[in-house]
Amino acid sequence: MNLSKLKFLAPLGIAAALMGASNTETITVKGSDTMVIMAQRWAEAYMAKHPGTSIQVTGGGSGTGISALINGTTDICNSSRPMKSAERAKLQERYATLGIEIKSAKDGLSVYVNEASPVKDITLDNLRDVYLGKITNWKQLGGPDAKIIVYGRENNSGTYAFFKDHVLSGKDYVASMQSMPGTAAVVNAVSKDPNGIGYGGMAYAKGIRIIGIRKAAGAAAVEPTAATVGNGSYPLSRYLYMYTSKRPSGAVKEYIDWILSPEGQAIATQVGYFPAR
Amino acid sequence: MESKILALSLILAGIASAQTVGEVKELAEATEGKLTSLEENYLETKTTVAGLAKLKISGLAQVQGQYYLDTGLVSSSRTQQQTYFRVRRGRLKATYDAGNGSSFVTQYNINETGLSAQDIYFKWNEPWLKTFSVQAGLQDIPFGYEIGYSSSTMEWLERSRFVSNAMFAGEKDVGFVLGATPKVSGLDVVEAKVALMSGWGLATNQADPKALIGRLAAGKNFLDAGVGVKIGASYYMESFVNQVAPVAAKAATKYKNATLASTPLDSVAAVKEVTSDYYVVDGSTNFKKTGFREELDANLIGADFQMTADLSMIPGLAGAKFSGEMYTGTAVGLAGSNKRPAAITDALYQRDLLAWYAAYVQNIGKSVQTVVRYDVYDPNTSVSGDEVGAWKPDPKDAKKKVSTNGTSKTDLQYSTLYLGLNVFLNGSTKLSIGYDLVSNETSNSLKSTEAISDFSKDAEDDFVTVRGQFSF
Repeated sequence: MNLSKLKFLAPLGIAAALMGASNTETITVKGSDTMVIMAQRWAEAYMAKHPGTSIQVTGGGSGTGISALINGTTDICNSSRPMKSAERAKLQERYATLGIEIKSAKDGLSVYVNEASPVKDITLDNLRDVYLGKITNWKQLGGPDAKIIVYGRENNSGTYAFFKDHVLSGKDYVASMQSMPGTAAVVNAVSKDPNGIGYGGMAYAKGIRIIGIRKAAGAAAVEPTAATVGNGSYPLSRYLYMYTSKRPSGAVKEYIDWILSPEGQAIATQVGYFPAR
Repeated sequence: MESKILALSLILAGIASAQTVGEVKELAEATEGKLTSLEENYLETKTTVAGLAKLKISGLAQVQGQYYLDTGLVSSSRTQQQTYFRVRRGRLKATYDAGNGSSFVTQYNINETGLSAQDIYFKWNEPWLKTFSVQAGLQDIPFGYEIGYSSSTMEWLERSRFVSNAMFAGEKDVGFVLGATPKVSGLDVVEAKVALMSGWGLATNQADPKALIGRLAAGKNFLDAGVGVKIGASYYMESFVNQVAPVAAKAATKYKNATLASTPLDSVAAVKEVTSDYYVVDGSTNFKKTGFREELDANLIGADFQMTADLSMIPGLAGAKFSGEMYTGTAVGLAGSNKRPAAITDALYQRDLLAWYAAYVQNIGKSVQTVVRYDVYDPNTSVSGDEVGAWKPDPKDAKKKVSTNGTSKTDLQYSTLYLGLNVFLNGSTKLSIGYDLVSNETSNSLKSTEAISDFSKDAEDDFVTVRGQFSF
């Protein structure tokens, strides 16, 4: 082997170093629709204070965001569910990293009904049966004799996955569930449908009513509040995550540090979520 | 008069009003009907779309140019070609996940040389313990790490010389793989596979016994430290039955119109009277053996590890991967190839081998990857130096050579230093440049006037590859 031939690779090494060293003040954020309003508020507030930084926020769902992180088309992924081991393995194959998980806020996954609905709370078992298609009439839940119209999210949504895992125990949603492209669409549908039921983040609760959740038939109903979500007594409490492919550095690190600061966490509270810590 | 007009107006208005209410009611009923119809259509469409969502199509194209730095390679194996273009991969893969624990995969490779099946298998995951699975069909051989590692994500351009030039060339076989991934806490990092496969790769003419293959791997991620570690051990056991061509040739003589293809070796009683040859090339002069239906064992063991670490605390760097594999044991190949025999009529050569590689991958930023790999493959550890290809003059014809130990250039050790650079142009397109510095063991017994086959020194066979890849 003639090592003098290695000179051939010198320009390639320089090119690699230059490409690797390239830096930008533009930060892309993609993922959870549940988090998109909060992420936009964070971005607006941060850009107002840091004019040299441009932050582009888009939704699309947690699964879409994680795919974008693996493909390298976003700097930060927002996700309303933890990253799956298969997704982490893909990240490991592509970047040789395991990804960095940042708990950015807390949410109580809320169950929505129309403001006119007399139903005030629901047990976890009944909620599961509604979404499995076993309970189909409001009369079975103490409401009027009317068919329950079930609204939910599409399968690229982290909220869809969280609800499926924690409420449906991994079983499939009822086929008649109307899949909506975002939490805002779920809220809009339920606000116009007196027989509708839906789920989503607390921050979207406009024009609908959030009902309490009972862990069992005899248990007290718990509504999602700062206290119940904070101490975990609300049965559907969850973290909202941000992921990066490697340890955040430069502008991305500064932005994430700011989100976790009291100022950033205050915005999470204003939007309707709760501080991560 | 005015009162009559007013009364008439009221009556007419009432009639009109009644007509309007009736129309509205009718309209509402019609609208409700349409909505119901739309809802039914929506559910039908949703069911259809949900069915289609179970089918996933993915694909991969790898187009490359290779430039041979040494003219020795150019003048011999590739007449006057110093640059060589080809479509290395043109893959199309369809995966249907039924959503009930069963799935089906079919994958084909299409390039300028034709179409070939790569994967045709189905997988069933048992629903009770959610631990075991069975995968049946044409699929990857579950031995070692590299074989099952997709070439679309592989950091180097070709798998190690052992995998691509020896027993696992082609990487595929037909058979059944039992998998286990325990869901028990503490054991959920373990993955085990046991396979029974044809042992003949893509050849249709198989002979018993089949190959028994096993792999046990365990991995652990240390998220806080950003470090992931995985280790694995593999085993391959197969026996090849000696049924070489001379047997059939003699059978053909004995049975007038019999030919190699038309004479089933098992069914011709007279064949059993005929002995046949096989070769155990262990360096001794007694390398030629005889014995019809003699079994030659291929027993290999392998160990592999992969470690990834987030090095982004160092400015400019990102994730790093350090990996390696080692294989040793006895393999069965042919006179001029270390690949698995592809037909039951080939003369068999048994050799002891040792192969290993170590690789380091360093990501720089989000879109650049640098790779260094050192790959060693010794197909015959029993011979070295001038012993490889040793010969003496043929007593019958002094101009001819006769091997003294049955070895040839097939038994030479090779080591390859690979230096590579991968640039991810976007989420689907990758550009790779690789430099293979190939070194062979030298033997004065293998002198030649052609540079490419003169193994008394390092053969001139280094090359550079530029590859573009698109995957979806």
